[in-house]
Amino acid sequence: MQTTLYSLAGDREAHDLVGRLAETCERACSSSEILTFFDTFDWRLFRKSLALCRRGRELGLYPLSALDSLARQTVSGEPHFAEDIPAGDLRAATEPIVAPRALLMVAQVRADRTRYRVLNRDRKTVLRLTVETLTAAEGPPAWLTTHLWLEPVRGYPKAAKRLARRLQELGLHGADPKARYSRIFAGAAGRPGGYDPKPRVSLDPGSPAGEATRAVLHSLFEVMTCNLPHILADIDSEFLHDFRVSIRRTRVVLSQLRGVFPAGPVERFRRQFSDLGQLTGELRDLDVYLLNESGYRSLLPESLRDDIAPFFAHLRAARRRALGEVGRGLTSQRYRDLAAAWEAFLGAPQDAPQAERATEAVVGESIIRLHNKMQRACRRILKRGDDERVHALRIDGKKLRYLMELFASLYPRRELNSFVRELRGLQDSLGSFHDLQVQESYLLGVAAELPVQDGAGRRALLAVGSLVDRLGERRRQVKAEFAGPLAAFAAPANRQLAERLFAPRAGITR
Amino acid sequence: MTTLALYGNKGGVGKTTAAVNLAWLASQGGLTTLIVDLDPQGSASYFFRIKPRIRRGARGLTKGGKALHNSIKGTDYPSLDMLPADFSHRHLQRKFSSSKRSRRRLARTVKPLKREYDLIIFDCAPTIDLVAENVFTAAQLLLVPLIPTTLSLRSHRELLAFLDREGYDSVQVHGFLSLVDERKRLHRELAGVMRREFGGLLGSTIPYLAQVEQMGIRREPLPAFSSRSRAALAYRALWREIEGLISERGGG
Repeated sequence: MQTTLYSLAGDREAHDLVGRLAETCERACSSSEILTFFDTFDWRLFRKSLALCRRGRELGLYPLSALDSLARQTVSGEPHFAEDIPAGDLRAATEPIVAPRALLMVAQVRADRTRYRVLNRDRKTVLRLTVETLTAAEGPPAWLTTHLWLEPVRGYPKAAKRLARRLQELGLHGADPKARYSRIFAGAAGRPGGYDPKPRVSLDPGSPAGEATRAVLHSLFEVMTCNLPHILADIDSEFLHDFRVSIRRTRVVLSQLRGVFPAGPVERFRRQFSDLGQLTGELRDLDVYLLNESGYRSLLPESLRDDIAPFFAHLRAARRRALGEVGRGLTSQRYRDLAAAWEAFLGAPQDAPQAERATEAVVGESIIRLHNKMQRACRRILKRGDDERVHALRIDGKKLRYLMELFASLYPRRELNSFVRELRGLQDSLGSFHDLQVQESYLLGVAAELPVQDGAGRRALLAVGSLVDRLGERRRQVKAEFAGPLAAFAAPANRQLAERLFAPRAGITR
Repeated sequence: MTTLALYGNKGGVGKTTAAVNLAWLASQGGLTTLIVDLDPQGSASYFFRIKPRIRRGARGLTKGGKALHNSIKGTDYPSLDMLPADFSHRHLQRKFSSSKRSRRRLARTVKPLKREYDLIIFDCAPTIDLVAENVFTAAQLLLVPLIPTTLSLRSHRELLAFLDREGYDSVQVHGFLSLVDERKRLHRELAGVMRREFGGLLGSTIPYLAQVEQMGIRREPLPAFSSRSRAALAYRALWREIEGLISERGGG
């Protein structure tokens, strides 16, 4: 049996109830403490049914459905990132879920708890009961919830079953633990799980393409807008990342869904969003290199690991400058004008040749077109194999993926997923090849800027050189393994799948 | 996961009280702990107010799996569970000897508990038999309480000779002085002899104190009801030393 909780109307009712339970109940202890909850901006812990909570100096990771933590750790001060938590079980459990996101305080409540022990004839504890009342921690003490927690003790299932039955007789039924948290997070900025960096807009396949596309673009603009202030506050790297992904997705929609909007404005907005991408590009690059600092270090022979420090110090300084530039750009009149114009554009129907056609037809055509292009490229690379084509193929893969994700609601989920899986296999190997290539040339570029007046500078240069060498080695490895995913993607079966999924809807017959 | 056994081929040396108190201290220190009562007398179970009864007799331990899992009981303390003693442990010998590779049976039985517990403490009966030999293979650390008496000295020599002769070299043996009465000259002298003779002897000593006997009346671990008492402090010091041994081994 697992821990169950029962929702009650108030504190007094709870204690009366415990008194009425026909059991040998002993009051064990009472506590009153402030609980401070942390989660990422996109509620990564809550989505995994977990809560990170600080009680006094103890930070613990709790399943939403339990009073006991999975892991806990004494901490001093607020954790800003999972990596601030001292090494141990808690960090090991938290970091893979939240990194690289920052931990934000999402709620603070006062918890008054009274614990009872239910004893058997030997006065052995066979069941634990906890009456818990939560009130708002700030302002007037507003009541939030009262719950009775029933925690079985391992090896004593009968006692728990008996009590559950008794509670049922008294008209009480197990409550949803998530409901308790929605009360806790009621005051939090943004609904738990409310923010989704990949918004899913539910579309009607027959609706006019212009209208549907405006809805999709609007959801992307919302993602940009809600990330913007946090980019400027420099909370974590993911705000900028989500912002940039939304820009890229916006550009893909504008370029791929031809004829849905009038050509003039599309051209203008494409250019402006492209500028926005460039404005933020350097900062993102630097974020990526700095996030992967320990990964790079581990690639180096141990003797060179400390020598590379000046290189990362150089990147950190460059990042501070880049952040300043992004800040100026995103608070400029130019950006405000773009945002206002874009919102106005999305708010009104546009007259264009494809605007009134069915969404699924327009989107299906674009997907099929991209897919055919990619299959041709795959075959050509398999035959001749030049790196420029690989780059173009990777870009097209991204476009295809974005289109399918943004318009996912038009297609049967299962078939779409198996199609996306095929694409992902290809993208993964193309992506790592490209990343390694970019990193090599970036590192060489930065190496040229590194000051080399002293021994430390020269050693740093040597370390960077060794790193470039390791990355090149990996890139050749990845390339050697290209053939598999390329051939799989170029296979006729994959084409049939694409046509079955997208072509009939586009009204294309072959 | 670390496996630790409290063992001595002599009774009444403070084995079970040490096992109970160390298990409690370990769990309070954040280690999810299981205490396995291998003594048919079930004293450890008694201290935790748990009835010494394993469902389906001895099959639970020898076969492992679900029966073992269902036999585990939560104690009154968080992160501290117990596998209670069973009088049918008397039959364990017969069960163990009828299965192949019988000295590894216990080690294999507790292996699936690795994910669940950071520490398993075996509280053993004071005999050298097949159950004990299984403990010597299953435990990484063997803690032997030693009363400073000539008999205790002798039996510890015998134990070390036995382990050496039978090739139990994976288990790390550490004695510690127990039930020491500082007022007795003989105790002081023999404690000195033991320290000189046995290399792995731990520095902490458990004194002979009436407080320890209170445990039987209270049926609770000593540091749980008398945390600042001299005896509790002695167990704490002992636990700190064992924690050091565990982290040296890279366990915990």
